[in-house]
Amino acid sequence: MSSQTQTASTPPASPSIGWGNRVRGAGRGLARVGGLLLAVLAIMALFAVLSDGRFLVVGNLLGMLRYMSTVAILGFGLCIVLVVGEIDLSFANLYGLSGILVAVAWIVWGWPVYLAILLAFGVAVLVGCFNAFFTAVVKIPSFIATLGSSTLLFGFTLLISRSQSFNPTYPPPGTAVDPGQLAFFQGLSNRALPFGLPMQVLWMAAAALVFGFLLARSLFGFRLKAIGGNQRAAELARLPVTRYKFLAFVLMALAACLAALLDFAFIGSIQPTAGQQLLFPSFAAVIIGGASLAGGRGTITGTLSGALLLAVIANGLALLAAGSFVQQMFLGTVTIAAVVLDQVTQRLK
Amino acid sequence: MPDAGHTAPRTAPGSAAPPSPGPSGNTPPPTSSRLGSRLGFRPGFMDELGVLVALVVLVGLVGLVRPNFLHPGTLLNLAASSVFSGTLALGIVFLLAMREIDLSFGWIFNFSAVVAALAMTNGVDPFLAGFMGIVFGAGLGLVNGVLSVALRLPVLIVTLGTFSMYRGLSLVVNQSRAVVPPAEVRQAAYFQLLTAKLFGVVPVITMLFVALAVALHLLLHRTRLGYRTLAIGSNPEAARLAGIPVARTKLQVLTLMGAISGLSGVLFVGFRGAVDPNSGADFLLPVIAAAIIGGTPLAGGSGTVIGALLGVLIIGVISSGIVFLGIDAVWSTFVTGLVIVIAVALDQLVRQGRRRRADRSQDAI
Amino acid sequence: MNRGPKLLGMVGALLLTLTACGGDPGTDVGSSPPPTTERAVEDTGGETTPTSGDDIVIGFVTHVVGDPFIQQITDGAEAAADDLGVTLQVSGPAGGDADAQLKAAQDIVAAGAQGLAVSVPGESMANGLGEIIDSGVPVVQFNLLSTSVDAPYVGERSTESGRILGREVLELLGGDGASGQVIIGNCFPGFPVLENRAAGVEESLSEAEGIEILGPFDVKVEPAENYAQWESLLAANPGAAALVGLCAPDVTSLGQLQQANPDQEFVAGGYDLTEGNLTAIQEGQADVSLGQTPFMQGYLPVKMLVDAIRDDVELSLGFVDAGTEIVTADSVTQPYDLPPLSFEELLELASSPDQARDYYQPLVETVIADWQDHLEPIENESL
Repeated sequence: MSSQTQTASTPPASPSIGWGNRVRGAGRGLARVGGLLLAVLAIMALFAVLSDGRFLVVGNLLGMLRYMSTVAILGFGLCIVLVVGEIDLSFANLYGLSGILVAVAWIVWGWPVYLAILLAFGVAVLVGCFNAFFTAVVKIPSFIATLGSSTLLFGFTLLISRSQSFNPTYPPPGTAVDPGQLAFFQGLSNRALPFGLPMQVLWMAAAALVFGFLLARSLFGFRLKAIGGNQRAAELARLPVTRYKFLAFVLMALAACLAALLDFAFIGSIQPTAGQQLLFPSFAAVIIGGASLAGGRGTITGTLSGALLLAVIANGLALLAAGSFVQQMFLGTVTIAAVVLDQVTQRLK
Repeated sequence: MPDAGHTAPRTAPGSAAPPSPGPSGNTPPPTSSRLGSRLGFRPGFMDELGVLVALVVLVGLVGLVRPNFLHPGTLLNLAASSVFSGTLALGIVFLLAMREIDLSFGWIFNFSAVVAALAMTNGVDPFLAGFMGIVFGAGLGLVNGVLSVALRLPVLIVTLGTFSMYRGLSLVVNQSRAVVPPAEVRQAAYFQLLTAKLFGVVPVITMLFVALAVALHLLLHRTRLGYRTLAIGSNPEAARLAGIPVARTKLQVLTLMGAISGLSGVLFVGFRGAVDPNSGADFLLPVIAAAIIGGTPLAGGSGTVIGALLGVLIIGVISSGIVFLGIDAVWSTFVTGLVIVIAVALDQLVRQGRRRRADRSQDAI
Repeated sequence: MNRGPKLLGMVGALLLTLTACGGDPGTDVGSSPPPTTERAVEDTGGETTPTSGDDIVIGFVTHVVGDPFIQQITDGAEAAADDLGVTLQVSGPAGGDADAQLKAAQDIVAAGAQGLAVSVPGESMANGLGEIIDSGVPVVQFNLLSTSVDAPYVGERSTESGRILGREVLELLGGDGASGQVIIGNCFPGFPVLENRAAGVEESLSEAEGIEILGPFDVKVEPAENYAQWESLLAANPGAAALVGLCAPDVTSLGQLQQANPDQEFVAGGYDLTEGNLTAIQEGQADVSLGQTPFMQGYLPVKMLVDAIRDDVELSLGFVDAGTEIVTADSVTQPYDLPPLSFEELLELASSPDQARDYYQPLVETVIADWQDHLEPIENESL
């Protein structure tokens, strides 16, 4: 009953129902993403023409896919948190902390990189639990709890990094990094794949499958939506609300940690402020993808499309060397237009 | 009707059924009795008690260790530097109460300030230029409203777009440079007034802020617009069926938010004497946080302007207190986070205690 | 009914957090000696602070925290505080917002600092800083300046350093007869210092007629975004002869990009001597990076303030050149006749505040000691 969230988006007695009858054949899931993908394709075509085809060079398209993977993976986690009706502002600083933790444990403390990675994921789980504890148990609004934990995490990052950046290829004087471990770590994102496919894209695909399955095909996801759609009803139905909120925040934290490690492995260096600029784009991707801050709604495919849209815009505008004015205007207009297009196709189904 | 889609999840399962017979224009919405009691018998500042306690405790703690923190001049200056984000927080309460979020207000703030400062630079009387800035901000807010109503999109998504658009336009207008009205303009009465201090200690700008808070408090709790805002926030579908003009109210509230953002920007120009290309860019999170710390939930249906005022002061006291206590820069971010969480937990406990008592004295709904 | 004890506990926790952090001086940052900040503030807290003697507190407010380059400046300031026997209180906003930074500066002064060193990233800080100066507290600007603030500035000659970078790049491309496309990236368009650098770079490059300048493009600050922007710029202009950045993350990104595209040789140049940038040059993936002597930008402001407080030296608008360091794969050129450095030594300086202090001793004895002789008109900064 309380899971009416998805169907509730069908407008009751909407004037556009006549439209709907015509194109009933389209699958609902496809229609859901259809508008966004349509928008993405249209913009890609536009860029291809404007850039004399340079946009469509395979290398550029692959680079774009790699670039979107960070926002997408963060977006998957965020999507889960939004679906359960909460918000997380701490993942951007957790991203920085995760990278710094691996770097410090590995390079400065001399741990094996495998342990360092485990440590980062372990800390991520703790951070997720911390957020969930203050949100679900102490009942502080998650906006505040995670804003607080966000500054807390950044402070922690500053402390352990001593405001230094780290690069395992060139460890600071007096420390050493095992070449085998370095190869392993870089291999996380840098292994040569057929067709020059970036590793990070594979990771993104794998994460999309896992999160997509969890959210759309499992009892877990069904209940998440029920809780986010109407928490009171979910409590009455004796759903384990608190436990699910813990799981949602932990999944978000794991996604942030994963995204951070992949970027760190690819870029080759990490600095304390890393990730802070990712907060807004990640939210934008998820919200463009159809999630609602009110909870109960959000899909992984939508998030992917949102991230793709942002990546296409960023990449295309960089290619065209547009000034900041054009960049911002284009970004703003396309964001609204893409969502409108999405809504229109949704009404068509 | 994306509105319904956006908000339906929060409605109780039962309310999805067709509503009660014939909602004629003047019948109050179903929630009115609850709302009415809240408005009618609203026990003064009790709603904000928890926030007030947290604020006093924080000030007291810092003052205990560093008595010169309690110097009136220090505290009043602290209040003065909270005015700009504070004004925005007062405004965002209306949007949160309506179960919407505006992301673009930081750039409305910036753009209006740039327009006003440029007008001053080009010889317009500063007071008139300030007024132009406010009207301009209101216009940008109206654009948000029109887009949201016409495209049937949540304000969140519209302002995600206009966030970038206003930013881009502002960058064109200020040519990516700080706008500084010439020195002779900055001698004008407008700048003198806004930087003046009454009796040598009370900044004029702080008094304006408090006056605005009182006015907006009354607007939210004592007028039809405020009543409609709260009704829409607590149940948009019911509000619509009860004949509340949802679209018009949305336009009004967003225009109000734009005007408030413009006002904040114009005060900024007067007080700081300049506006930078990225002034206001970082206001988004602290402003919404202030409103939420003050007790306005993201879920809509209730809001407290006075709480937002206190929330902004809490944030200001935390950052100043850290400096007064001599906490090193690296530790300060850490402590800020910790204190925010603890302060809000404190407020939450007071609130829960109050609610429990209220529940006992009243029948559950 | 168990609300009472819970509430008490909460208040207790709050109290503990604040006071514990306030009173604990053992939480030093970096490998610098433990700062004496907290103790000294404790002494001066409460009553009016004496303006001479050994308990001088200097506020040091940066526009961002957690940035390795800014940390090098802060290390320089800490070294000065140690040498001069004063207490340094460091503060700054996490996000880089000018208004938040101004508030931190005002708070530090209200809490009792007798002098203030501050980077000024925005004109909107000028009024507030002016008030501080009017109240009799000496102020020095470093790294970023506003000419509306009546206080001396310690930093690089921004336009001139751009010209130097342009010349270095041009040389690597083959001098005046060079040809090809040069892409310029600015991580934060609109920042006066960066715009000046860009102008300098373009000026030098335009001396060769065959050079086509593209940009400056917005290449973002965040390392991951920065790399992606450069990646697309190179993809769009596959034949580019040189890529030139103006900010700290660029050289690292460009080195990475060169490594990923070994078949596309390009000259990579940029700014700042962070470890990442230096190693990229050492490995031959990037070619030139300019430093702006962060040690001096941190040390000298503190020295100037102490002179003003102890000896009543008057501070007004003026400029002291911090000096430009030029690093290529085969040479390290240091300003002010500092002893020559090998690449390895430079790397160690980047990560060790103590070694940096020792290395710059000649500077401390000469330029920094007689800084008043090196004070120039502020216009020289952007000449």
